Amino acid sequence: MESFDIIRTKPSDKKALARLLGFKKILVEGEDMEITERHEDVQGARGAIRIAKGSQSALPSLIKEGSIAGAILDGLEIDKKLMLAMKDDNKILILNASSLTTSAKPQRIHAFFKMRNIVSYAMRIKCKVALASLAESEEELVSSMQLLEIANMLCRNEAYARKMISALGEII
Amino acid sequence: MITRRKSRYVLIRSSEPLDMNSKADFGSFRNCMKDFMGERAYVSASMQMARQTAANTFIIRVNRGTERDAMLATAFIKELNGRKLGLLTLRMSGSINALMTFQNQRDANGALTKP
Repeated sequence: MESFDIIRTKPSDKKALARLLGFKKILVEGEDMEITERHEDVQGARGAIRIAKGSQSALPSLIKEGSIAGAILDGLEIDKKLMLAMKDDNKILILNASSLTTSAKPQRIHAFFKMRNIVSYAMRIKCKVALASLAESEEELVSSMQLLEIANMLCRNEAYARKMISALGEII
Repeated sequence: MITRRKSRYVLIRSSEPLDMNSKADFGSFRNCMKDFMGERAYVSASMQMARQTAANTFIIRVNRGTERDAMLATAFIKELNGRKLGLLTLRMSGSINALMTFQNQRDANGALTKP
């Protein structure tokens, strides 16, 4: 099973870090991919993998651009119509594992239930979902084994959990 | 009939140096694990400190069947004994020797333990 991750901090040796954490490849923001929050950035896109990031009101217009491979949700609310649109356009919804691992306990439990609902709906409509750490520092990094367990916690289905952590391989 | 206790050893790397042989650091780690796993899962795991292999790497022993819960719990620990850090579960094995071999190989290739 190959697993992938996205991080927002620049490591000194990306390949060594991926090997250490058990990932096939780690995508680094600014090197392997760009995370865009504005329409203007998307239209200027060339070459690198581009992921949209925004709230559920901003994402519908961003994901319509052909160069966008997936979307990261800001917050924990997502419109079901948006998920259906992403499924039809073959875009990947990327969930942020850091919102679970770095929150305080009450917020974490709330975030867990919200994410589980998103994953549950995605499973039902067969929308592609990926789980990534989006780590902004060394403390927020997780290994592939830990990411698999978090995915398992969200979907309670081992096979789907493995799909979630390997889904980013489709956009590379 | 005597039943042999079957264990799993988990290799964990910290982003900050820790002294897991001290009561302060290991006690804090144990309390965090208890908090995240819950009493029932924690008691089932019967977690013990096995070995500190480097300044930021250590091995814990848990009962077989509870290693995945322990791995998940380490992902949520972001502070120990008042210090901000992150814990990475690198490998799991039925024997300490296998983990030591893994660590030595990774050290030869770099990027496992901090000096």
